[in-house]
Amino acid sequence: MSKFNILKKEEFVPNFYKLDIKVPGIAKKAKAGQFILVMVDEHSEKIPLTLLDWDEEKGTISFIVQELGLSTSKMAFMEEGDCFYSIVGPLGEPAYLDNFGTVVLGGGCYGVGAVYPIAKKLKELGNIVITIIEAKNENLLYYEEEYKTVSDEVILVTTDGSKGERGHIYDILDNMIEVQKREIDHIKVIGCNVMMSKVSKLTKEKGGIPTYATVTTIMVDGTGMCGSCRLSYDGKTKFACVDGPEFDAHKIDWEELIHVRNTSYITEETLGLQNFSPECRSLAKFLERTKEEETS
Amino acid sequence: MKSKERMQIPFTDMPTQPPQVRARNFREVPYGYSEEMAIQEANRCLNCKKPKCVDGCPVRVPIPEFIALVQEGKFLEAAWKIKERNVLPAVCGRVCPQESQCEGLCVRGKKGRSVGIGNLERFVADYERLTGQVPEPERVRKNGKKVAIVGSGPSGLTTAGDLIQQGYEVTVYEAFHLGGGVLVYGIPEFRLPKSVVQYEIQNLENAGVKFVYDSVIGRIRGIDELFTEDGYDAVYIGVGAGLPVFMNIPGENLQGVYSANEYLTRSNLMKAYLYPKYNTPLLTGKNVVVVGGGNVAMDSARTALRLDADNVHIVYRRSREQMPARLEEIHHAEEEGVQFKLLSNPVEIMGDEKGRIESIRCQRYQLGEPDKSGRARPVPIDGDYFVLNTDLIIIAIGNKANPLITMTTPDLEVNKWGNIVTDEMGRTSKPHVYAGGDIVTGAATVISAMGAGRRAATAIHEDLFPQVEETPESFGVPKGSLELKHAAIYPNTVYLKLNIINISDKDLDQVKIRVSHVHEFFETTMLEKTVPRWSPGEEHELDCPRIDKNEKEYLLTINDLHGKIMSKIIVANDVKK
Ligand SMILES: Cc1cc2nc3c(=O)[nH]c(=O)nc-3n(C[C@H](O)[C@H](O)[C@H](O)COP(=O)(O)OP(=O)(O)OC[C@H]3O[C@@H](n4cnc5c(N)ncnc54)[C@H](O)[C@@H]3O)c2cc1C
Ligand SMILES: Cc1cc2nc3c(=O)[nH]c(=O)nc-3n(C[C@H](O)[C@H](O)[C@H](O)COP(=O)(O)OP(=O)(O)OC[C@H]3O[C@@H](n4cnc5c(N)ncnc54)[C@H](O)[C@@H]3O)c2cc1C
Ligand code: SF4
Ligand code: FES
Repeated sequence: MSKFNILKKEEFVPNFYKLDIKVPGIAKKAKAGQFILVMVDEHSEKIPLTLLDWDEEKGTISFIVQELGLSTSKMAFMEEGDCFYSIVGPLGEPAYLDNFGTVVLGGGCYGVGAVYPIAKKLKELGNIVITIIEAKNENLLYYEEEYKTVSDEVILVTTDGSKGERGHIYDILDNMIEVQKREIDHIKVIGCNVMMSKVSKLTKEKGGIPTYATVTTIMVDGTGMCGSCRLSYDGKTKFACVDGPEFDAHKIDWEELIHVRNTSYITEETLGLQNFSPECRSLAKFLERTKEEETS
Repeated sequence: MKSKERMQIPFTDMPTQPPQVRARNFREVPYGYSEEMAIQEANRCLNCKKPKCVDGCPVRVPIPEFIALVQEGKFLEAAWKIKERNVLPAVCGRVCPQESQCEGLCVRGKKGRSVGIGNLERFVADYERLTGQVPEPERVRKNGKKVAIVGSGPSGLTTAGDLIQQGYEVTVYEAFHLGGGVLVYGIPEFRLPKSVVQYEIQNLENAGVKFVYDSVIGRIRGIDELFTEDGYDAVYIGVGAGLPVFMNIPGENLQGVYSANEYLTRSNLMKAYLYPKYNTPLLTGKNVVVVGGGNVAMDSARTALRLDADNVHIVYRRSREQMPARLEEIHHAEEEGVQFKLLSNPVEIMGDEKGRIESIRCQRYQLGEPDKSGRARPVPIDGDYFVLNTDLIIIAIGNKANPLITMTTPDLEVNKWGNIVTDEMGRTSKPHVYAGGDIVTGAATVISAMGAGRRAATAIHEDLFPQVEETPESFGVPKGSLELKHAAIYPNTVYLKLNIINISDKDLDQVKIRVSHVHEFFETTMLEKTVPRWSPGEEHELDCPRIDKNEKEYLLTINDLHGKIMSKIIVANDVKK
């Protein structure tokens, strides 16, 4: 099978990879905020990844992978020329975009990359875009230069203070609201659920500035068929894959999402990775060997 | 063999894996008939002149004909006979609710067991597959039109199969990475081996059908774009009823509560039952509760058993007789050790501080007055509750229409449940867009989805190659007692329909009507129908499917009680066009 070929793979910072793949159908239809479901090989899980960029003319799409568990580790071991077994998309509703005025975007973990297409689009729509990107330390911050081209202001924040501000996205936001008294019309955050829930709590308390979060839930089919991605939203059950993934953060039942729905497979995930490790090594060896054979 | 002798033969049970063994593996439960068993069972069929069984079959498989071929040991011919009407016999033999269809009406069922029609269907289809003697797909001249099929479930596959044989260019778009719809993601391996489904899809591919996987229509392409950008001439929507219904009771989002769709999709499509070889995890439970009483509930319960549950309870609101599941599945589930809590309904799910489920509280019900469907309505008994300890709950109380396509196609008319509205041939409110299967009817059966697919294929063809519905002069019935009101011929779909009315003022007894092809020296009967009593003004419709493509002449013969020929008219017109 020659479809879903990796054209280019870059490791930005440790454990974060950007992959370019040819999928013309998706490149043609993708909108900011949508995602794809990816299976590395026939045995893999389907995992959701946000569309980072796409080029309709070349028919290519890009996404960023944060190496975490089994599937993402398998991806980390893939090389240019390797193929994915299955890629489905674009899925989900596009992000809610408009000329809001001043918009603050917050990205952590994979969200450091994933807010990029949204920033780009919001800028095009005439907003004043302030982007905050967060990482543990300076070695894990990426995409700073790209953001400068699509934001009026880029704020870097690290947990250890090794680069930019010290702290978290919500500390920066708190400061902007409380101390700097800045007018903010709209906020969007992408990253881990805990970070987003804290931002949501903060902005709800500070007068309810409209805040939208892209929830990360566990998914299977991405078409609303299974209910794996369900969350309680405004007292109702919603499916992140078709109703979202972006939702009004103030209406999400974060408690349930973080502590109940997303920790279902902790044991299996750990086990899966342990099982993978030896295979991982042999895969790496295999790839090395085939390369040597090719060159010799 | 005389009927009397046939009546003496006892029913041949299909051998199965012993319950204790099979409840721990995913291999298919029944082993199938041997050739001798098949012939013995076939010999029980009386070859009724007026076969009731056929009336019970939604696609009117010529049942006595194929069984007669089995009696003679002509298994391949028997398989082909079925395939004239049903393209997925290996599937239907395994999953059709025969007890409420063909076997339910079989005359032998009045006294004792009806003929094992499903078992025989399965046998001949397997025989064909396993001996690999599939006839070469007919090479048909392309007719220049393109049709897109959305969804590769049984209804989409049937439409695709019918259209490819008529020369269309057919492309099936499927959201998943594998084809078959519920047949692969819902129905487990132990009931329908995936190799059977794969084989049928391979046959369609060999015949020229193109499959495009990983494509969610509505997202990667809208219905309109299929016409404007991809140049399709017609679109068939067979996307199934894929929207799980939840109970809306407290605790439903706790860890350990699955929709049956998720549970079965993880297990079947993503092969979580082979974890960790396949990476998709699936929570397993020691005390599993499945809510619901249909096939989906039985499949979930039996999967849970096979994944090492100690206790599996099915909680169902109504009584046992009212369970919609196939009889065989209920029976198998019971043999394997699934326990039933009937006339009970969950009201609350309780969990621990970590958000994992611990128990489920149910209320007892009793049967009350019949409801609209005629089934006695279950009514809750005040204050009568019980609690089951559980670590895994699977909700299998039904599926609604998935709104993805209809949401993105606003001019497609839907009813208040979100099902696409169509006429009886599958035409939707949008020109050249057709729909069928579960997305139209709500969750139903494999065979009804296939029937809908077939009707839509007929409609697509009629609409793309419109034929003047002819009533050829020479195809008349002489004025007198009977009159031909309407004759419609669809040469390309090889389908002939006649409407005949009694215009006299008296009852006619035992009128026999026969439609046949006239060859040079002999004629072949295509359809025979006897009307025992035909009252004045009464109209009878004759459907003569699959008239021979190469035939130019048809003969309509009408006899009355005494065998007198009332009319014998040859249609000499070039009805073929
Ligand atoms: C709409 C959406 C968009 C996403 N976009 C991206 C993206 O662009 N780049 C990226 O790297 N990741 C993205 N994710 C998260 C990504 O899907 C998960 O990291 C991935 O599923 C982990 O798979 P794994 O097999 O490697 O790890 P697993 O072994 O399955 O899990 C490893 C760890 O990740 C957690 N996890 C598992 N699944 C998810 C999930 N769906 N969401 C959050 N945490 C999870 C587990 O609890 C565990 O702690 C997105 C998630 C969603 C829902
Ligand atoms: C667990 C289970 C057990 C069952 N057991 C029986 C049984 O024993 N006997 C019986 O007769 N019936 C049974 N049924 C019911 C039967 O399977 C269905 O009635 C039948 O499959 C409906 O066929 P369909 O073609 O309409 O749709 P489906 O089989 O549901 O197929 C629809 C296909 O469309 C795809 N699709 C959906 N949306 C899109 C989109 N937007 N773009 C592209 N593709 C899309 C889906 O992925 C799927 O592959 C069972 C159902 C289930 C769930
Ligand atoms: S009704 Fe029963 S006995 Fe009669 S033809 Fe059909 S299967 Fe045979
Ligand atoms: S992932 Fe299955 S419904 Fe959303």
